[in-house]
Amino acid sequence: MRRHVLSLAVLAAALAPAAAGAQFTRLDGRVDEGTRSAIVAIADSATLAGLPAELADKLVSRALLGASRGAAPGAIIDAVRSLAQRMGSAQQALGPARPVEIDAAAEALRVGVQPLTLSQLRSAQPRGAVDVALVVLVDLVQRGVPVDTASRLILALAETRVGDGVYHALREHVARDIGAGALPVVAAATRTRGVLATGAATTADQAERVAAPGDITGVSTRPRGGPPPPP
Amino acid sequence: MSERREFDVIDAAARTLRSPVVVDPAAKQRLVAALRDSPVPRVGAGRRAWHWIARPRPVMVSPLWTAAAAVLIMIGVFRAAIGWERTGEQPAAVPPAPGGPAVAAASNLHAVQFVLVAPGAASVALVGDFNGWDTGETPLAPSASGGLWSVEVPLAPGRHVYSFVVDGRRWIPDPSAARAPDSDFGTPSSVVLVGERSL
Repeated sequence: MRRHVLSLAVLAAALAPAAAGAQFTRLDGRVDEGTRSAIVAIADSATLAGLPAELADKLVSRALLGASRGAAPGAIIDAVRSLAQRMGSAQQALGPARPVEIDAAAEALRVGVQPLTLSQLRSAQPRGAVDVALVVLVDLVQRGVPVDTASRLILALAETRVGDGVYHALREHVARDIGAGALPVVAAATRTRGVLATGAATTADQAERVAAPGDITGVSTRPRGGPPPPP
Repeated sequence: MSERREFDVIDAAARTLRSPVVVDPAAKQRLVAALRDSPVPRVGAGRRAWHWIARPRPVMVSPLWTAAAAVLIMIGVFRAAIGWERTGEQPAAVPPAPGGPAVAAASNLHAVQFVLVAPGAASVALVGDFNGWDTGETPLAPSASGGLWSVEVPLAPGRHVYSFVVDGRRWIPDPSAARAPDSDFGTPSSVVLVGERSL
């Protein structure tokens, strides 16, 4: 009898960590039990649906952010569920992708990037990672560049297969230009046109597309944080 | 043959069988010499082990212990597979990233330096998905002359979202890093890509 009890104890000890999931222990003491259960269920469903298990940690982190900000349990659960859905959509749009790409693509969807843009980005760089391009795309949108324009600019760069350094430089230059008072859309289009005009793989057609007048008209051109435009 | 005659024959046979056998004294020596000269077949350790494994014999095993062993093996295989999958995407080197946090590689983790210029701040903390957004987890240290706050944090490869918390209540993004979208909680935050494609 004692031997059987020992066997069961060994079995339980071996199974417990795997069943609990190490990332979910971070929720202990940070959210109530009901919220914790809901988040675990969302993460399990996402994993069963095909999301990489590593991304469950991102869902947990989103819940912890909500807890740190004092959000209500319902708001935390909604945010986590929404993120899981975006991750699923991002994975579907990208096709085979690394977790970091899915993570970045989910945030791109959050700012209004279309799933078709994600697919086109993947097609433009079938063998390269798209996480840097997506992070810069989101950054441009966050700085006030309209999402359609930002998407076109990033796609144009991706089609020329520029390196990560180009995206880095573009982000820095656009941020600096905006900080100096330039309109976000003008800064982004001008800087991208410069990259395409001087880049080795550029074509006149691509340069024309990123600088098309339609990209910089009929959109909000007020820098973020600046004064409102006159009526 | 009469019965008496049969007994005599049997008795004679029994006497013959009971009598000691006379062995040639040299026969034993010849046998020993023959054995000494004959080659002894050598069996290697591997062959003996294989024979021990392959030899069929009944084995007494508790079903409970068998199940426990099977579960432990499965867990080991699962964890090894996860570890392999994660280490499979670890880069060997990290290129310098212009702007944003400075990143330096060390094994699987990469030391990332976060810096904020906040001259009037009494305290600055770093919060992010890597520390559970805990405002007490990663304080920044002020420079000797004041105004510049910094901290180095080892981060796993991937995309990390973070913010600075000034004086325990004001959340601000990293002015020099890429911006992250709104997290649904009204938190301004920044992004750092750690690993092969640092940003």
